[in-house]
Amino acid sequence: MVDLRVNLAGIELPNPVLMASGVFGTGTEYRELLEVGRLGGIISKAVTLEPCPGNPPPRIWETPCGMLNSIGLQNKGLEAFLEEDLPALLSHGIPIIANVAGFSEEEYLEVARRLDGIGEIRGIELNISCPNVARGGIHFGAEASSVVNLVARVREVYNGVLLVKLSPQVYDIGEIARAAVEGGADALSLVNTFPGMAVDVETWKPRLASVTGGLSGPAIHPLAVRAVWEVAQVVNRPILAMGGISGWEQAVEMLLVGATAVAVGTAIFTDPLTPLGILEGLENYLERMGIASPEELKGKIRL
Amino acid sequence: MERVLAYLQEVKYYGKAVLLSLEAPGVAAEAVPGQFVQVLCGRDSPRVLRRPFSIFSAKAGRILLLSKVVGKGTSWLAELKAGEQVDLIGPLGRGFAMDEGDRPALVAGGAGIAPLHFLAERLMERRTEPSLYWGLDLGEEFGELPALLGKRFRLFMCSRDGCLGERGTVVEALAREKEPEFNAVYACGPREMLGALAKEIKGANLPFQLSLEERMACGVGACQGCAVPIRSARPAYSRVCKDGPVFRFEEIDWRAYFGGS
Ligand SMILES: Cc1cc2nc3c(=O)[nH]c(=O)nc-3n(C[C@H](O)[C@H](O)[C@H](O)COP(=O)(O)OP(=O)(O)OC[C@H]3O[C@@H](n4cnc5c(N)ncnc54)[C@H](O)[C@@H]3O)c2cc1C
Ligand SMILES: Cc1cc2nc3c(=O)[nH]c(=O)nc-3n(C[C@H](O)[C@H](O)[C@H](O)COP(=O)(O)O)c2cc1C
Ligand code: FES
Repeated sequence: MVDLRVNLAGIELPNPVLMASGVFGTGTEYRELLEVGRLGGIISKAVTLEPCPGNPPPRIWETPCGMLNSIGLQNKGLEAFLEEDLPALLSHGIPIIANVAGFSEEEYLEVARRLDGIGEIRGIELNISCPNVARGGIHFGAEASSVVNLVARVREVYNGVLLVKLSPQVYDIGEIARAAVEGGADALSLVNTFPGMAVDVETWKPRLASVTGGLSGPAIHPLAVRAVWEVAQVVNRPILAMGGISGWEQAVEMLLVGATAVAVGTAIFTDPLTPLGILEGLENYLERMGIASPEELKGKIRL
Repeated sequence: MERVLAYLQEVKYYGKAVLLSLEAPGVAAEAVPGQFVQVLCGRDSPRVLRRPFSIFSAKAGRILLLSKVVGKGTSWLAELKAGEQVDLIGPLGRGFAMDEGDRPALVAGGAGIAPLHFLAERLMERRTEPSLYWGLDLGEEFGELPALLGKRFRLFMCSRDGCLGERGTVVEALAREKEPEFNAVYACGPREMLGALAKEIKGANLPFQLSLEERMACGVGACQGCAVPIRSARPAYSRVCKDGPVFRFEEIDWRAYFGGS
């Protein structure tokens, strides 16, 4: 018998397949398309202190095997998140992790402080890797010293499980991961999107109004696998892996290079049943391999 | 809303467009004019993002989609054969409010005819006869379709090349009407057309609803990808896929919509 439950830095997950931040709303939007309650968990859209309108449209462009987005952290702000979105997220009966973002260090701290002690939220994912805002986001995640500093300050005010979400767009992602752990991260979440750009050759204009955006989808999968692999080798913390996962094989790849759980992003747009398909595929695979738990696959790559 | 593998019953070709007749009883039963479906384009390695198409008609367990070929996804759709299956999600979004006036004008540009055709059908069922204004760039763009629709509806055609109906745009044609015959306006079409139309009827103070387009990812209101700027004290966006695609004229921040952010 296969037992799909995994433990992510103290968060008990019913299974290792979650929904990544920003693609799944509160899950209610998808309720008619899949059994949301069967998922391993949901990571909320970024929450900032104040409401954030986001970037002007167009915000989406399809690329070969992927897409660019420049949503720009659009969200209703912490107050409305707690009042409206959180109850909706919780209604599915599965673990919820809040993705926390800010345009300043103070903002990250304030959001984390206010989420501290809300027991229904099983952890926060500190987004120091959003490529779509001029201030904040990725700028906090690009230098080891600022990562240590920010994570440590958040650690002081937040007592729950603290995940730190890393950008792949750094010289040495292992170094940034080490910095996050030094600051007090319980787990690492990677990857966020890769900065990218596309141009309309008829009008000579960028495809996105914000000119650049974040690349996601199957196109980035091998890049993400490598990033997870690098991080798994240098830190001793659980990893929540994402980046182009669209089937159980890609999920298993992530586990083999060191992830504890995975999250599905862009693939939900192509096929809303993707996460459940991954779950079934994973279960069959483990059965076929005679492996009792996904945790037994962790880091088992043969070199 | 549901996701179905719809059996493709029939494909008809009209100029640069195809009209697909799909068996989708659940979608057909629920659909109202102005709503759309998200279609997966491609089979073995499909396009990552589904393509939105307004529902052209819905009755007897079937929906019709009119797709004009403009790129990769629509080219794939145009090559489908009857008997194949199409993976679609729908009906999605907010449709038209239908009780706006007893003499409605329906103003379409190009493929924008799709939601207005469905609306015209439903209005006729309610014994309201709309005037349908349809503008094309090239008179032959939609083949025989204008002629067929002309038999069923009060239809005024315009084309920029002058090959079908009046030469010029639909908005110019509307503007030439001395005593407007209508007391409500419904529109769908390219941005420039909607802009010109908005200018033209701004002063008239008529109920005015438009179906807008924006690139989409999820199509169900989850990702904020399909933002359209709305009027409010500070910058704010609504989602075309969930809050729209049909909006009232007053809801949109037109200055931001047409460029300045
Ligand atoms: C709510 C809604 C309803 C629509 N209804 C219809 C319809 O009934 N009939 C019809 O023919 N078309 C309709 N469209 C437009 C249709 O979705 C696009 O033409 C289609 O997505 C293009 O796909 P493609 O792969 O062929 O083009 P691509 O190769 O992706 O791109 C070709 C061109 O199409 C534009 N485009 C791509 N995606 C979209 C999009 N989501 N919306 C608008 N433009 C886009 C691109 O900017 C580009 O210029 C609708 C769009 C929306 C948002
Ligand atoms: C439309 C969209 C919105 C996103 N919003 C967020 C966000 O608010 N916070 C965040 O940390 N990541 C966000 N992401 C990144 C995803 O959570 C994920 O890290 C990334 O897309 C890679 O996974 P994928 O290739 O499976 O999509 C977003 C991605 C997309 C496509
Ligand atoms: S396309 Fe995702 S919110 Fe509209």
